[in-house]
Amino acid sequence: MAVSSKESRVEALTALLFIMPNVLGFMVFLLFPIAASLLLAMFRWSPLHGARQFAETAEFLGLSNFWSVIGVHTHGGSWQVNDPYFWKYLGNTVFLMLGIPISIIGSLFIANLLNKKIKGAPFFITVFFLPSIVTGVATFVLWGVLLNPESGMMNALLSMVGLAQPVSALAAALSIENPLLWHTSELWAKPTLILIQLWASIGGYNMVLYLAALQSIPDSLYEAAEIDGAGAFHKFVHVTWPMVSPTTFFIFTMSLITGFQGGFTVAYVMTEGGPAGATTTISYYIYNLAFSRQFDMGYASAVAWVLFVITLVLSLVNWRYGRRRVHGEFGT
Amino acid sequence: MSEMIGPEPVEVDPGAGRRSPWTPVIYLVLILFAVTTVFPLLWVVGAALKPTEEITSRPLHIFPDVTQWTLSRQVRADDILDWEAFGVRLREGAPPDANGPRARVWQLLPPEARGAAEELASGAEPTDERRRALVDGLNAVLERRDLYEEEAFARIAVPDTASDLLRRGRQEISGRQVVHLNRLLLEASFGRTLREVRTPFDNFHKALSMVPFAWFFINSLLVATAVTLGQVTTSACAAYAFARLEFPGRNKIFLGYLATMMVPWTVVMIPTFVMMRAFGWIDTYWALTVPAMFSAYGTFMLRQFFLGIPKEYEEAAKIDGCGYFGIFWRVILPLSKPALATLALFTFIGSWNNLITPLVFIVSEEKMTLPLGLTLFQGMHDTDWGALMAGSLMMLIPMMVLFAIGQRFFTRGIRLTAGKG
Repeated sequence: MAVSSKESRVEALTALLFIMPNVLGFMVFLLFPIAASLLLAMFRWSPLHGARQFAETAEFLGLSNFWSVIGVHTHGGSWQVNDPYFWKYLGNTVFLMLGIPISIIGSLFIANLLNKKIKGAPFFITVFFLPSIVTGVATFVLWGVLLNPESGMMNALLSMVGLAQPVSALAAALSIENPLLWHTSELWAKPTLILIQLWASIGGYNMVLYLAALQSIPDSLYEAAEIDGAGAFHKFVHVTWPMVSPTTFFIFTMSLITGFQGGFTVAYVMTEGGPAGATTTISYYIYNLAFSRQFDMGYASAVAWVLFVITLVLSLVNWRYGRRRVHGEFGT
Repeated sequence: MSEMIGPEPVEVDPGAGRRSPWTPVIYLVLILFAVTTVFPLLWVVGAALKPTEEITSRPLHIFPDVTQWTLSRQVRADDILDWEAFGVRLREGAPPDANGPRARVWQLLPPEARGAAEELASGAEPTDERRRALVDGLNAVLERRDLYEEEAFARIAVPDTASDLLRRGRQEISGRQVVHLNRLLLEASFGRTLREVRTPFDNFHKALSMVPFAWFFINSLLVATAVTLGQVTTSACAAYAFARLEFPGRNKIFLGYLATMMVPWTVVMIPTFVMMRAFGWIDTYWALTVPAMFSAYGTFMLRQFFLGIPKEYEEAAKIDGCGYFGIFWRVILPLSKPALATLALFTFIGSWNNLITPLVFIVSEEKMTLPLGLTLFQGMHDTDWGALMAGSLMMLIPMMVLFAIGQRFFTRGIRLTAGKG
């Protein structure tokens, strides 16, 4: 067996050569920063003091940085959170994630229609997929112009079809901000950003995933359901929904992870996190802390780690409990 | 956009091959959704071709007013809206004590044109002969490098394209640009009697002259290409090892890769910034490209694909005397073209749309990529919607073209990443 052990040594060495570039880059630009970030999260430090003098300028705070993010203190006899901004922006992040279920339902709905063996399905898929490709600074600039409350196209359209006046009147009657102020209103900025993200997400990746899942459902299942006298509704509930549940689970997990990290670009371009911090997400908060206002990189790292832990815990909970509800084997 | 947020699809009949009575409704919903989806993207094309006043004018104009377009700035007979008034204004430059642009035009005008102007000013019929004399004369004047004076432009509102030209000085600009400036001067000094010319590219000229858009575009192209090449290469190599070669710790290392895919970019960004500063890479292309060349996602996706390639191909190559490199180069890579194309497309688009990396690492305008350049532009000229839309369109078009070319790879690739592994 000497030959085969020599062969396997050659194979291992070859493998080392093949993975080397990637693993090196991975260690330098991912593993090292992750470790450094955890370390940085225990210091008060700003790069304004100079990168090389870390040892002299950084002040060790230990775990108290994390406590400053999530902890509470007493003030005048009542409990108060240490960092009210963190909680507010976490709330914003979660609010923006309310678009996830809508997006998932929308994707499944559209995929279901496309799965009807209709003519021109590839054309529709192409059109629906386009926004998810181009979404970014350019489309956010575009939406900012379209939704401009004074002279934007959307409000002009709405008043043309006679919707603008009743909506404004209703908002006035309820004495809330006018929804037609879109992203410039503190109340409606988040729903507006959700709509913009739905535009890009419903017809995107998730729809294609659902379409693949729907196409792999064997016709025999539907035929069997028909023999049992199931109508369209029952077939959807008892065949389609369980059969696509692994896809739903995958999409939900991914959306959860990206949702907690998201919201930066759209808010940076359209609202700068405003009005009054209404669209600042945790990612935006970290960016502001580290790169824009205070350059407080230690505290920013602590917030980033809290975000990481939240994502991790929720993903694990989702994995633990969601997986049971999933029909069949979930393979990735 | 209520049709986007549809109800639970209860009324449909999943999986059935036959035509259902719902088919017209299905088409209607799909078409409505398609219209909602593409409407903003079509609108931006129209808006990029319109001046801002036309974008905001009510009632709504969907299409740009093409009747106002011209490709040349030469004076045409129908550009002169009122021959008599135009003649009167021209003649105001005739007295020897007159000065200003009208006087300069009069002095440079050939004698036949002057004669025609005199006659028109005193109410003569604008015959073909008089018109031609005047229009030819004006076009000759338009080409004169010594017509316009920079001080004249201080009193009239010039577009930014013109002020950019003015900064460059008379001898450095081309004949066409001289005509452009002279035409602006004529339009300003003859008021409503001479039509303003409008080319479909005015907004693009404006955007290009306000910020270094050409640089943004080139930088985006360079950075996205470098990142794509780097990421596909390193990912393909590592994926081959993970999928096909036996080595100690293989599965553990691979699991480590997968685990890091959940780490938020905010965690990595801060130490990376410190590191880039230590390397002296801030405000260089290195910071935009090198860290982005290594991707756990790309490795994972290609590994999934490589696992699906039947081992028999390799055995055959081995018998033909291929080593590991030979198998990788001659068997695995050629068989994986669709997967490689998918990864390349996704990486390119991800890089093209990336705002945060240049935002954190780039300071000088000429090193910015389009996403950052566009936000800079938006911050400076957020009321000039025409130019803003032209800028957005310049960022969108390459993506749309790429999508049109590689459309089939996208849908295939998505199934690959979430598929059975």
